[in-house]
Amino acid sequence: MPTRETRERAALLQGTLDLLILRTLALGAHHGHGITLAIQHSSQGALLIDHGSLYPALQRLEAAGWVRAEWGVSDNNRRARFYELTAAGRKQLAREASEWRRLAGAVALVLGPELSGG
Amino acid sequence: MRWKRLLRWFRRRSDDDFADEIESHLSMEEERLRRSGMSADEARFAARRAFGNATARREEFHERQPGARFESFAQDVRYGLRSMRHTPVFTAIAVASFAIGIGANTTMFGAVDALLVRTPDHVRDADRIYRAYFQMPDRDGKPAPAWPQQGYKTYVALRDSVKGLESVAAFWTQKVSSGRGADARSIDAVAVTPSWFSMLGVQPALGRFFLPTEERDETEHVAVLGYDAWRGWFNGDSAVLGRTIDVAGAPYTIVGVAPARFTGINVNRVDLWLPLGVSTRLLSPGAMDPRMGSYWLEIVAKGRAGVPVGQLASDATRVYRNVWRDSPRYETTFGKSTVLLGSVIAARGPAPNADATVSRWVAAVSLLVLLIASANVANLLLLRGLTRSREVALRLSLGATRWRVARQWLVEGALLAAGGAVAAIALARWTSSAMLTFLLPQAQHEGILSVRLLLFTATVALGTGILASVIPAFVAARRNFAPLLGTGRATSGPARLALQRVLLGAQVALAMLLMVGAGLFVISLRNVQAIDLGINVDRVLYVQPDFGSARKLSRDRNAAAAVNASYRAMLEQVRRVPGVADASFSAGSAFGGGSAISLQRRGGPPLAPGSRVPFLRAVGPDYFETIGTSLVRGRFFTAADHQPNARVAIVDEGTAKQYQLAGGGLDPCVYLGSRSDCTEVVGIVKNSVLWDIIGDKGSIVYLPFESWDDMPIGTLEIRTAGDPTRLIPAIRRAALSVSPDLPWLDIFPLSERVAPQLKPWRLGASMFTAFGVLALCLAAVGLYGLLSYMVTQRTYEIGIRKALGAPSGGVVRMVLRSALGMAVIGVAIGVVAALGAGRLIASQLYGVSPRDPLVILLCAAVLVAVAIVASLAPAVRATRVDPLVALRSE
Repeated sequence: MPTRETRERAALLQGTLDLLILRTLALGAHHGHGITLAIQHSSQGALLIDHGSLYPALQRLEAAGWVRAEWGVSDNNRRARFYELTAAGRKQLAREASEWRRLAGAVALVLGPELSGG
Repeated sequence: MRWKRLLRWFRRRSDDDFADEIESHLSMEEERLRRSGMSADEARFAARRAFGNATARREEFHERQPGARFESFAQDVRYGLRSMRHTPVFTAIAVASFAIGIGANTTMFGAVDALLVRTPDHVRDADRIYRAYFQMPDRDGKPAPAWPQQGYKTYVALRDSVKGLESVAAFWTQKVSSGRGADARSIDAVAVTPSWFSMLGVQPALGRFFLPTEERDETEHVAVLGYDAWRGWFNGDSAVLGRTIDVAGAPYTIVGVAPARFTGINVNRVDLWLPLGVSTRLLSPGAMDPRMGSYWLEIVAKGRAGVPVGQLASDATRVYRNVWRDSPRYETTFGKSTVLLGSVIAARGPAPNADATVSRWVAAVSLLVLLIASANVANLLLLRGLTRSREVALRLSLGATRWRVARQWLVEGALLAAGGAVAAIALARWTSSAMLTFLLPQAQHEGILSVRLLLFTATVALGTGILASVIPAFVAARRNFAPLLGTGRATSGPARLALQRVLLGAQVALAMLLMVGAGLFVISLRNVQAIDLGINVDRVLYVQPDFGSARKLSRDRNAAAAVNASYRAMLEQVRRVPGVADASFSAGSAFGGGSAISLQRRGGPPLAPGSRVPFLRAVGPDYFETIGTSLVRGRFFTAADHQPNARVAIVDEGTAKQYQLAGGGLDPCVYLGSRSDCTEVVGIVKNSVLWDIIGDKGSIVYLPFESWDDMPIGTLEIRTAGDPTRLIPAIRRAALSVSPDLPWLDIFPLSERVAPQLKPWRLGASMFTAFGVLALCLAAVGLYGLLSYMVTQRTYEIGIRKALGAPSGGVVRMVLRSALGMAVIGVAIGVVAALGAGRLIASQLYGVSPRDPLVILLCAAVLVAVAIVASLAPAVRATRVDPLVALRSE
């Protein structure tokens, strides 16, 4: 029986993590921990992120050349690796975001208005 | 994009850097949680829980790094090399197996590549170039074997009337003499149409090729030198253009030099290219007369791009039939003939020569050896897999994937094969060049260790390495090893080793197949060698001077008489050479055939149409003593018989029997040729060889040379007291003292006519035997290995048996029973395979059935004996098992 928490916090769709990371970094450079919190915060706690899965995603984005990273010092004086969007990353974000919106809109159209008792 | 990947490789992050990042994340999360009110311990725990499996993430990171794949591969290789070093005996046997299997194939590669695979050098668009073959119906209306030779008019018809052909060329291969007297040599010439070079797409190294106007060779004689001839005879001098070279007594102006390694579409070396018109001098004045129908040219055609070969062939067939529209044989023969267009590579075509056929066989056999070697190594790897099961179990339980374990096996198989390949290439320098020299003595071989050979060997090695290790890899990765970790011994009793037994049975079966092949070829060779040729091959030399075309001489009585005087003078000089025992001469000769003559017994029935007509051989005094043909009945010719008006003949046994001559063969009156008077048969001699050693014998009529028309002599026969080859220089000097400006003088021992004819059997016998013995050794080693392993594995069981008082004999019997079981099953399968495959090689055998029971029995006996020998050492080891040691070790 699913708990209340898992029911209300949607698990991430495959591939959307990349988009969320890129979107978060569009607001400015961040370290991995910060990105996690930012995503959870801006989704008002609705999106559940497995902290560990963030890093392979970041490695992937870095390899693709969409983000670049550098070691720096965090607000509370800790060493952290800061990620920022590259120009290619910005383009990729725009592409993925518009695709996502189109998909979401299409799904919404199919679903239509909420049915009673649904 | 390649440089980007390289850049990533240089800029990649270290694993530690990634670990630092994770650490940083965890501490930040920990701090956040603590601030929200958790205790330090709780916070640390919760942070780690939220993160998940950090070690797995780190590994994932490592695996995804650029080059990670290579790194783990290098690890496999390192590990493989280490385990090979730790088991030197296993490694040596496996590498040697591969070396034998791969070596057999590299040995055959050069010959098969040259004969069957490689398109001839310098030839472009080879897939659109076809050799034309012509197939006529035989007497029963069935298609006779295809034949490539045609007359000039067929060439002209195909050239002018087949629409889909871009160009048509023709060539004629001929040995011609060059120079005079002591400087004369025989050179390999090819006469071609000028279209030849442009069709093949070849460019001259120097000068030019023939102009279209030079095809008939009428205005000025021109020639193109082969590259090696240019380097050898003219020191590669570029001023050679415009100089002349003597061709059969006439000067030819050199207008060009062909590029290196250009041999047309055959593999044999070419010294000189001549315009086709040279045939009117060398062959017959009417050779290029479109009305003549003799068969001497080979025709090559190039189709237009995109025109299917089937359409070309049917067009060519229509044109060819039309050429013979007016022939009296049109209805029965030519109207039902077909033109076949075969590959530019002759050995692939419809009429391959015996060398190509046998080479193909031997290549197939070498593939069998490779299979046996692979099976052998597979077996060894399987056995080693059993002894290494603890190691595999450990790796699996430490988290290695099954694919990783399987890959380890594959890498080790490939490594072993690579070792074998290195050894094989080292061997190939000798074996491959020896094979090429034997199979293609006329071809030029340079650079045995070609890139093609190395690529071929590498491919074969990789393929067999994987082939041999794929089953062991699968088995190793599949097995459930959990129970093994505890005791290190399979406690459920000895493994059944079913797979190993199957592989070993297959090895034995293949070895059986090869040995039966070897036996059949050895018997065939012996049978062929034992054929009574009716002459003394070992001690006879032929001297064949080039006094000009025999056909021309036969038309001109005075010229023939002059030439015959030279022959007789030459004979007198040669007789005086010390070491010459006997000498004679003849028109028509053994291995040279002769002209036909009709024979009619007085009062005998007229000959049935199509029956065999005897050959005429007009011989000088002492001919039979010289050549070594012995008398059966009657007498040889006497001095009185060597007169123009003598009417005596000697026939061979076959002729006497075929014509049912009276008087037990010594018929007082037969009518020969156009003679209206009786000729008396005074003697009967043994049958002797006509052209080829296995061909029909027994249809020769001998006449005293002087009693027949003035025809040119042709051959001097010389019997020597010792080794005939040692007398060749002295005889050449003696012969040339008579005619110092003779264009060419061929002197050769008769054994030189026999050896090439024996070649297919000799090749089959030696290669099948060599490969059969290798296969036998491999099977023996495989059997030995398997039995040794079985004994080791059953040490405990044997120990218990002995402790309970079982005699040693029982243990030996147990080992022998296993060995014989596998051997007998393998032999049985091998016998079935040999009986089935026998039909395939039946046409290559001579005087022995492909199902010869003696050969099969003998091979089976040898294999069983070898199986027993291979099992002796393991059996003895089994008897030496000390029960105490065996039981304690458990």
